[in-house]
Amino acid sequence: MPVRVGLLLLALVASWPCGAAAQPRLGVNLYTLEGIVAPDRTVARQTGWFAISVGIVGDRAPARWVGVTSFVDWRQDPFVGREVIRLLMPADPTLLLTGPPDLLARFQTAPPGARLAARGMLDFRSRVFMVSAVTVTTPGSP
Amino acid sequence: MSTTRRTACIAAALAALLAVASRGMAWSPADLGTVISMQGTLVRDKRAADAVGWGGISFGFTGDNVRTLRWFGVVHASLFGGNTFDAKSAVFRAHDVPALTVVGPPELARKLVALPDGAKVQIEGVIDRRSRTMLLDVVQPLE
Repeated sequence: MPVRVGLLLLALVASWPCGAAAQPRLGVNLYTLEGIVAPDRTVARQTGWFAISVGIVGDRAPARWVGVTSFVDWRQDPFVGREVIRLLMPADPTLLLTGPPDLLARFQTAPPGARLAARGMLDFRSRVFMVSAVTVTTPGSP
Repeated sequence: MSTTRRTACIAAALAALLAVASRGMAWSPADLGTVISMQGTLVRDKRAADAVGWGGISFGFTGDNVRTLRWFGVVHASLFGGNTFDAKSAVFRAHDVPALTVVGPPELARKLVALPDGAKVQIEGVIDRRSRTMLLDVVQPLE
């Protein structure tokens, strides 16, 4: 656990802004993803602003579709988030999740229609999104 | 008919009228409008809006600017409390042009009209989904 925290802090320090504000920094950065889990790409496009496929590192199961409703960097800048996703979009899966098994399980078992919020470090080059928080809520649930 | 009986009939009629009237005035929270916050880029046309944002929407105006149409490439939208999940359905009507008609206040409508193409803007306000109108609260250039 301390190693993971250390790596996160190291990545945060390394990604400290020193350039133009709206330019995406294509290294390792903290992002927050929000979206709606969908059974396929068509539904994902309807429910979110854009559809991405999300796989799990080391998992051979087919990627799941998410209709993304928000993708912002650590400064809550959606312009950067949009640019990063646009650059990643041709790849399939668009993102590869990794992280604590219990957090990954929340995503893997989320039913279609569930609302997903995930925060973590995204390595742009490998498309790996190392999650540190995942919440799944179902509309209508308390 | 005695006075007492007549008074009782009138009271009953009034109560019935009030009951009908209050039923007609029944409202839900959605009737009060949807508070929304959006960030995006103002551009010249739909194609550009789709290119710079996740989706392009158009703003129409009233009064002196009734012929003006502004295209907006949305990169982020959230409802009151930060809910992004339901925001798209509130603002995104690709087939409707304009998607939203700005009904005021005049100074903010003029500010939105006057911003140049390419401007990144935060727009907040209240949307009435049935009439597809928006009452602005914030028009804030981001750069």
